[in-house]
Amino acid sequence: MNKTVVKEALGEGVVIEAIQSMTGAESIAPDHMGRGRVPASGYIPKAQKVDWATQQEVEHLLFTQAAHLDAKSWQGFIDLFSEDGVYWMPSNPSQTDWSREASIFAEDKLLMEVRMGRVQHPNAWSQAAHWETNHVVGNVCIESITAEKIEVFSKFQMMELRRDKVRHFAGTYRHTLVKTSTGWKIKLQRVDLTNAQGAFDYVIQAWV
Amino acid sequence: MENQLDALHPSVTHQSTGVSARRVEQRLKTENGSAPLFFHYLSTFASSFDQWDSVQTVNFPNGHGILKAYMGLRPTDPDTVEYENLLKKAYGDEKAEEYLSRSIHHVLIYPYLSVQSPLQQLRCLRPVAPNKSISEIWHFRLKGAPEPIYQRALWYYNLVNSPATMINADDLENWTKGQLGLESKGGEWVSFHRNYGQDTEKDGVLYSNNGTSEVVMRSQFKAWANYLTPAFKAA
Repeated sequence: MNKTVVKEALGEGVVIEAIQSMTGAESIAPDHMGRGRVPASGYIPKAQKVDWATQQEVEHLLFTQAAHLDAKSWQGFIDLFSEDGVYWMPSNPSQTDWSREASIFAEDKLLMEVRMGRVQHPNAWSQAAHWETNHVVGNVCIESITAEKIEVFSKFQMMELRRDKVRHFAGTYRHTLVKTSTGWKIKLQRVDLTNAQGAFDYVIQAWV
Repeated sequence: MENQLDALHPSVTHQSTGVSARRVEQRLKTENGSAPLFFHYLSTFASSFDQWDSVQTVNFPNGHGILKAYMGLRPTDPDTVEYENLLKKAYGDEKAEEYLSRSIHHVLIYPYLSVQSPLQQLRCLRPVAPNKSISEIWHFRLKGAPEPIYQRALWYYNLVNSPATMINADDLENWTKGQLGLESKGGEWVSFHRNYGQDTEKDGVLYSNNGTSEVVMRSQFKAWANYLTPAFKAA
């Protein structure tokens, strides 16, 4: 195209007479790549009003559990569970059965004992590296309560230091507590990790 | 990949988990007469070197290979018997026996795929960078097979292959240390001489006479060198 033609072309203006859409982007038909609006997902706790002493007792149990983990007090952690207690970290929030689906953790007390024995063994090579965690538990919300059973929802943040690398894990705890002769014990701890589907640079060695 | 067919490392690398699982397994056997099979998955890792030496590796050209079975995954419990009967019904006695009698722990398709057929696991290693790989593991449900057969695969997945595995934790740690060593100005050579010259060759396939022979690594790195040589020559 020579210069003369360009000059002539510039003289032919375009007039936009009506607004056909609110923005340019909206004038493009939606594609089919899954970027449309998605319905709300995730779990919203149903809070029950409970007396302050009960709330405090339950919170104390959750905070104590976190302290056991940070202190590597594995037996102390296991003792918080009832005899039939289960620690379960599903790989996906839609999972409903700890024993029939692929999980990150699915452990009864016997398997917890295996894990504890492993991390305490002098030749557990992965334990040689300096390794610490720091848990914070909050948003503690009692969802149902009877004389025998409490369902409690909470959120956690966990920072892990291993050698010189920091990792951040967070998610939701849902504890089912049962009354036993030695007080409230954990019958089921469900841990929905927000980063459950992420690629991990290293495995998770102990309960979160 | 070397790790998948290596019979020497389990009792060293996985000693902590094997010993711990065996302790619980033996207590359950004493108390109840039996223990769930999945304790056995973990406790066999801590078998003795002599036991591992009795397991054979078969090493094909181009780095492919097989580690033969050692977990005794053809028991005679009702679930397995039901499964075997279903297979016979579906494929006939002869074919079913052929499938069931294949003595395999891992099949390795070099350089990236590992199939663990007795427990329906598939592992794929994807290289990202010279010091980084992604390890992806699937487990499968066999169509029409009894539920307990799936449960077996699931529990192996949960205990051995999940992101909170009590097994791969120590593999990964040792690989990381190996990588750090190779990146350093330490030794330039890695020795894979164990049982060199003591394997049996037949039609280009190397059969180990000791399960812990490093013929696995020799075979794989020979293939790797063959892949790299034309590239170097071209450069």
